[in-house]
Amino acid sequence: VTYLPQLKDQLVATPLERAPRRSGRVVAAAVAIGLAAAAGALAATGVIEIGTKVEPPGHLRPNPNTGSGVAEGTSARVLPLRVPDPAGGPPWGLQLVTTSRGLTCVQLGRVVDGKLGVLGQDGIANNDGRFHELSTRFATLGPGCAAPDAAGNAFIAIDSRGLASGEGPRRSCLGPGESDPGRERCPVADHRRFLYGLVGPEVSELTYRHRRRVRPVPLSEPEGAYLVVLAERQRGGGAAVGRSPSMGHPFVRLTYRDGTSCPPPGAKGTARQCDPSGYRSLLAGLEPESLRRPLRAALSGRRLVVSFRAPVGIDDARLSYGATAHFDRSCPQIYFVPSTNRDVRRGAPVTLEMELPPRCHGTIRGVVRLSVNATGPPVPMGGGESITIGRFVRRDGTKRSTQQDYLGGN
Amino acid sequence: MEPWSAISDEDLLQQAGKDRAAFGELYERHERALLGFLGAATRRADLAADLTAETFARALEGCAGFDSERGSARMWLFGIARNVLAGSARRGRVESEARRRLGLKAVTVHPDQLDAIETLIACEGDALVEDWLEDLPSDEAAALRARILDERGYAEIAAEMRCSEALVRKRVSRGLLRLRRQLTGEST
Repeated sequence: VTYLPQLKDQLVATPLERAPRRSGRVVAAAVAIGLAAAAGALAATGVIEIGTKVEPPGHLRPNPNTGSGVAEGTSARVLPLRVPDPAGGPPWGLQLVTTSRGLTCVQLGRVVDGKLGVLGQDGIANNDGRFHELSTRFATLGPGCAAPDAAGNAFIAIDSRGLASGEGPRRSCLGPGESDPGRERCPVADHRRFLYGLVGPEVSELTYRHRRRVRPVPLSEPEGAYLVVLAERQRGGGAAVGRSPSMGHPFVRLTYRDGTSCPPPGAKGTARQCDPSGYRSLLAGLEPESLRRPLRAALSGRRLVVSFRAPVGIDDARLSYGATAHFDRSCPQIYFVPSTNRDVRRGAPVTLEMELPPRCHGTIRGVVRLSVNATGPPVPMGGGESITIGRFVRRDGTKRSTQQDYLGGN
Repeated sequence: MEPWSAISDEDLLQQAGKDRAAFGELYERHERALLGFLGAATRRADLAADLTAETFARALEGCAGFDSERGSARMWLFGIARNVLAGSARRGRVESEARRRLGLKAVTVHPDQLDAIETLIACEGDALVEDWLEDLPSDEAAALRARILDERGYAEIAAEMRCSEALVRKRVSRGLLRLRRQLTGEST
């Protein structure tokens, strides 16, 4: 019986020329078994204990037909990219997971034996020091989901703050930017900044500046996956998500296969947002005029209800119907009516609803759009590519609660 | 060709430079003993596995320099294990230089493997150390057992043995020296 067959296999597989001759007599140990006393302070360096797989809590079980959908475990693929952690240990890597609603999610974690996971430290898994494989179900709970374009390529750039253990499971100590008087802070030495994402197949090089040196970021093809892990003490937390990495700090330049770059060589001021190269819009084949539909805007108490029939069917999370609304005078800002966030059959009735803000009165004007959800499920922030389905105007301030306006879509 | 099982440890070491399968056979023969020895010293399965890995890596690197006239392959392996143990204790971390030079990856150890190693340590580790101590003079064995295995202070041991602390220190020191000679085959 062999206790560690994997160690034997590694030793036997060592190339013959890899074992240098070491001459000289082995020096006798200073002490023999007296080391037992010191072993308590000894840190293991070359073994990784495997713990149980971690799953998100049951109440975070997503619906396969709404939002991001459900991560399809069989689609999970750990990319060949490996990035060392500044403090050592298993390398970092990325895993791509497809969801039931067509999103491509990028999962970040430590990689051991080709599996993506977290380490039992920084308040994870009772700090057991073991490696725990991460369930793909965490993929849709993080910031890393992108809607593939019409050519099937996903573009996403994430700049997040976290810890050396990895992200996903709930931890017992506080990470960067978290606050809770009842919990201690995780070790500051374990603070990490993660810059990762997918720049697509058209990018040939991505460079970043670290310690005054500009160096290329290894890219995993064909997705153009990249990952940078920095040991940076952070006060703030959270993640910034976009479709392409921001140039400035730490990224310096994106170079494309056609020889162009962003920013172009010699450009003044390098801070800028680069459009994803090779991006094929999902709306490219649609004729805007043919998508116009009449809208019905009604008030039910302080609730605005906008309804129409879907000019285009939606069968994944890449598209959604949403609306924006604003008041003439009392509330100048634009309000976002939550998007459909689910599959919709072509011609089926669609209803968008929003609670009107208190103290906002007068005429409400709004626009309903079909939008591309470039980075993940629809959020009521709007922006990005869209086609107008119709406009509505609704007078608020009457006593009647079900007065309706009908307006053509234009 | 002779089956590996019919070949002595010393010949396996001689052949390991040309045929890694010979080293695999040597590994299988001595893994249990080294895990038990290093487990007895550290009382931790993960450390025992880590130290065993570095010990075998260092043995693989050094097999061409093995000289059977200076001792058995087993004693040579245990000598390496003690050096790895001593160097690791000095640094506060398990040495990994040989594995790095050989390009070996960290060994992933599953819970059932750790359980098996822990059982080995529990069942055989103490017995192994007791075996070694049996060959020592009783006063030295008692001093070593109290100081090293039970991690008690010199003053406490001296009070119990009704002798001076200096004498306890001397017995521990002599016991360790005798053990080392016994295990490495060094002449007195």
